[in-house]
Amino acid sequence: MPMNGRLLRPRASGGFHPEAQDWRNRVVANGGTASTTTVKAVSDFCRRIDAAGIRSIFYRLNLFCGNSDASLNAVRTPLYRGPSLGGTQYGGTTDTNVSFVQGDYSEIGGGLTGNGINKSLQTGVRPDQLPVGFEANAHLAVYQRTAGNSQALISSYYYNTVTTTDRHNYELAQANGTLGREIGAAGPTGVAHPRFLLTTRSSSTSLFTYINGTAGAEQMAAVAGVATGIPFIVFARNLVTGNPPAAGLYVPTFHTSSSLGGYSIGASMSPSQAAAYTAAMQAFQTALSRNV
Amino acid sequence: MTLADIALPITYEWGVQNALLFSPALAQRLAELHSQYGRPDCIAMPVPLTDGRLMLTADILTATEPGGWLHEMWIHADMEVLLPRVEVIPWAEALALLPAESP
Repeated sequence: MPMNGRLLRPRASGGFHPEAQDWRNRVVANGGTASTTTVKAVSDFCRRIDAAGIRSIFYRLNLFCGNSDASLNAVRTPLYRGPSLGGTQYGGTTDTNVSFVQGDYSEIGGGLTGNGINKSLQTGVRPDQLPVGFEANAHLAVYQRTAGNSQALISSYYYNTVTTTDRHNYELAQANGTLGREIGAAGPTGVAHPRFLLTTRSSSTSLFTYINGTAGAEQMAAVAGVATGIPFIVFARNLVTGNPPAAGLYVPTFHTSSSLGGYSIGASMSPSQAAAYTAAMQAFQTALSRNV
Repeated sequence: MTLADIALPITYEWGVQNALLFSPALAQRLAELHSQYGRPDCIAMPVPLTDGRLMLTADILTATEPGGWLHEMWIHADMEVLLPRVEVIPWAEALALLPAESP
């Protein structure tokens, strides 16, 4: 008697990490799809993050994966929207698409590619709505596959044109990170792409930028940052200027033409936590043939 | 050359090599249609040019096809009015009309 096909066919939800399954469910609800191979890679990522004990550090994380569809529904569905699956969630249910089209995305061996002109993703995540103290306890990370132009990768940028102490910038632009103020930390030089950029501030006097797990020099200049209401944008800079800058009025600018494989926003990381996150991210990108 | 002279649908590869130029008035009308028929989590952001017009990369036209995030807006637009009012130029020419992006 032949085997029952239902017994041989793998269950779609079998064995995946709960957050990976939740992500897949949201992708489908949003009108996208994700292959079993992709969901497994996401599941493995979630398990590595859990094993490292760093899940609660993340306020938002998107791995830019899932099948390409005409509205980029899968790509815009973040994996994490808060420090835990059932806890407080930050930002939009999806990243809002600004001018991207289907042809800008390739899951395997690619990523989502900007044009340096007008394409970006608005996350809806505002520093002033994150846990108190974000301005001195924060990280930003971006997986940058290609160099593109030398412009913003992820950013929230409040800039008083006259008062230098009233400039509160949270940004990764190429190899430099700023968190809470415009005084930044550079990552190590000469690192080829693709590269995983991570900038992390653990106090008002300690800021590091890592590239592929290696830290640049510590930035120890004391800063008095403010968590502003300017939301984070990916592929550009959300900029508000003035003296003082007008509340609520920001303009996307400084767009990148890089190809990106994901981003995150969250709390600060120690060196060992940064190493664990880097390893998990590199393993995920390798699974999607993006680590080349 | 205008969109009325272009055979639609276009390919993505053709789209990234060309630009669409149009007036602020037309942009306003399209924004109204999008707010009425489009989805709020997908928006087009035209870039102001030095001559007062607005510009989008032509690959945006791929989003007007069935299933695309601009399709509902597109099918509710008056093509006889819209297509002749959108100029199509090569991307290299459009670059010359872009203001310097302010970081």
